[in-house]
Amino acid sequence: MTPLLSVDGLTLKTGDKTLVSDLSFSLGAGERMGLIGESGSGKSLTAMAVTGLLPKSIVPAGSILLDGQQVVGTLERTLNGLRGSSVAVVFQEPLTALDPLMKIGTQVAGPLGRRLAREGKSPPRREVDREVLQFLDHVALPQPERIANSYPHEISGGQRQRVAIAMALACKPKLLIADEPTTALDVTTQAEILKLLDSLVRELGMALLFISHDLPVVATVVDRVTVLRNGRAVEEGPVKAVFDQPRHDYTKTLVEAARSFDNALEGTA
Amino acid sequence: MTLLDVRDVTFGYGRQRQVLHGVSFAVKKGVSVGLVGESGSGKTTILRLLLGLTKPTGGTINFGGSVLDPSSRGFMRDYRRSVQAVFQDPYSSLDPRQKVRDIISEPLQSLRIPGAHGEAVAAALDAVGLPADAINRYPHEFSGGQRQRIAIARAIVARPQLVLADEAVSALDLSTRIRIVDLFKRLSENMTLVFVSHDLGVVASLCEEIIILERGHIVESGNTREILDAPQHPYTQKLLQSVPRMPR
Repeated sequence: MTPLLSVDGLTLKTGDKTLVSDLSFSLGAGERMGLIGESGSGKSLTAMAVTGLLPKSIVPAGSILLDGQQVVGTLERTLNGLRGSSVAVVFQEPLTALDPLMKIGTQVAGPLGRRLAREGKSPPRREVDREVLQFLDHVALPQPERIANSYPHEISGGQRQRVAIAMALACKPKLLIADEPTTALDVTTQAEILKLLDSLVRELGMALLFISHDLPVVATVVDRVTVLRNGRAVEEGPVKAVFDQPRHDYTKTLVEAARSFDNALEGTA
Repeated sequence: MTLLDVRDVTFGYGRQRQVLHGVSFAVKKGVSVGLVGESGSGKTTILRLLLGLTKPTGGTINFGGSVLDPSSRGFMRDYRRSVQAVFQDPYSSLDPRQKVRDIISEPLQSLRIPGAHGEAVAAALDAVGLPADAINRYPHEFSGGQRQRIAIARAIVARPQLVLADEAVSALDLSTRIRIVDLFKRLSENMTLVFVSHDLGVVASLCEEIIILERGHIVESGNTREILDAPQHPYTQKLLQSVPRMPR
């Protein structure tokens, strides 16, 4: 079966500097994979490359096949068709991902309307509004009517991230990319958002590319991981195998560090 | 011996927004304390009060038996010598136009501490594990972890009794964070550390005592091991359950 996303020999350069080097991985429909790396590892750039949203100064080479469509070197108009239907992204900072001047309901209605148009439907406004409320309810936001009628600054950080997830889900994409979606959130809110993402992705059968520097967070939502360092993949495999028996020295350092904080919490250090 | 005594401290912005509600705790000499809470818990406000950057609206803070009074220049000069701080972001807490030598010796100069500053700077650099030739370089020549080492060297150069650290490892990558936590652990053998953090794992690694804050109230405090092993307050329990763990 052809994978939903197939990244082959991806190299990203700006001027003489190589940011991502010869990266290859693939993701089947409904699969969940984590891209782990520290700052400068190229994990977010890889996500941007998959969605065709790289800054003009960064030149991609190699191949990214998403839902049967080549992304590298493809016209913006073609890529626009892929965004939403094939892929949607949840970014790290929900405050900057949302338009501060637009009410939440209108913001969620945007991608929802595009998806409905794509499906050849043109429902009346009232029906779109009802579906917006359903999506807000789906991401466990209390009082969806009040939230829909609020501006981003009027709701909490966790609620804003739920709205960003609702917008991505409204597209019904085949692949959801979550780029550090809980890094800006408090730990109790993070736990709730991870649980929500996990259950929604399972329920809707989407593939998930989860990008994070936080090993235990990644382990809660994905089955496979690729570890990036300075733009190169140093190790990949099932979460349990990579975290239990890391082969590369860099992965070993990360796993040992994460385990040492766990051990300190449990009093086994 | 009690180094710092915080008694019934309140702080608010007018009557409408009360940030701290009668907070009391003591910091004993040589016993590192972790202040843990989520956004809006008041942990940074407590740190600002402890630094003398702002005054409590109620209650008192005593240091070494004297009331912390930010308006007393004499008291604050002695206090700054005894209490130093390390902040979260090593990219904004170091002056980009100063060489490392000047950054680290700044407390010695502004506090008019007599003696050979060059030797004190070299000893501080050595204590934080940076090479001696770092003194002639600028902050931008260093990585995030190395910059945080410079900030720590600046905090310890005047040999303070107490170091206040505000989320001092939160902005660092995991592999760097573990090394800076180790550095703090080593340094805390010779000084007292108040470590403000949202990260329970880091506090568990570093601090003998822990204070859990929720919306300006201390909900639980005491020995870190005992609290983590058997949290009594529902909020502490929720906090502990929410921390993601590595798969076993």
